[in-house]
Amino acid sequence: MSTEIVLEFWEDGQVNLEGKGFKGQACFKEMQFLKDALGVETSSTKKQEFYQAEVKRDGKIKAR
Amino acid sequence: MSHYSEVAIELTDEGCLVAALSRLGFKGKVEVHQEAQPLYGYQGDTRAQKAHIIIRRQHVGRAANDLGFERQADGKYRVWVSDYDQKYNKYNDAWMGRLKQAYGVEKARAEARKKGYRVSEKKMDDGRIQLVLRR
Repeated sequence: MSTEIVLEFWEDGQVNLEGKGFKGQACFKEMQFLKDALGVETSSTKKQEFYQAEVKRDGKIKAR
Repeated sequence: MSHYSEVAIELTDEGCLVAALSRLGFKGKVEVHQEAQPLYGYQGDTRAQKAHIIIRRQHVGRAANDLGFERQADGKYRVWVSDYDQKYNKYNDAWMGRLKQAYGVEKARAEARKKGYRVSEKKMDDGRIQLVLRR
């Protein structure tokens, strides 16, 4: 599954970020540069996929 | 999918702030200074405030004062808008929100391009601006 990051900028100066297609902590890592660049994170919500297994490069499964 | 985040935008990037002001109609009307310069009032009087990024009063509105952005020691910009311009020229909280929105779009686009993302932008009917990053 391909990955993408969707950002929605509101007229009040808030922005929502959503990672799609990531497994586990890859989403946090991939989106961190945007959070660092834009300002202060005010909330974060993990989705079901966050708790799914992440396949490491050596083929082993990293348990969550 | 894995998680959502909400971020409050802070103004820290000179180039993106200038680009955001251009999006709001000030293209070619923005002064950028290495050293903070004085702001002037509607009668040409020098104000106590200084700024690194300035829109002069003739571009701001009727009987307006200069609009300024002063870079602080922590890298964040402090915004100088007179009470008059907030009330009568509509440079109020709603305008600041739209400025942060435009800044955020410019900043995210710039940072995403550095990381090799392809970026698509869409303006929504409710005023939101959506960016989709792919690679």
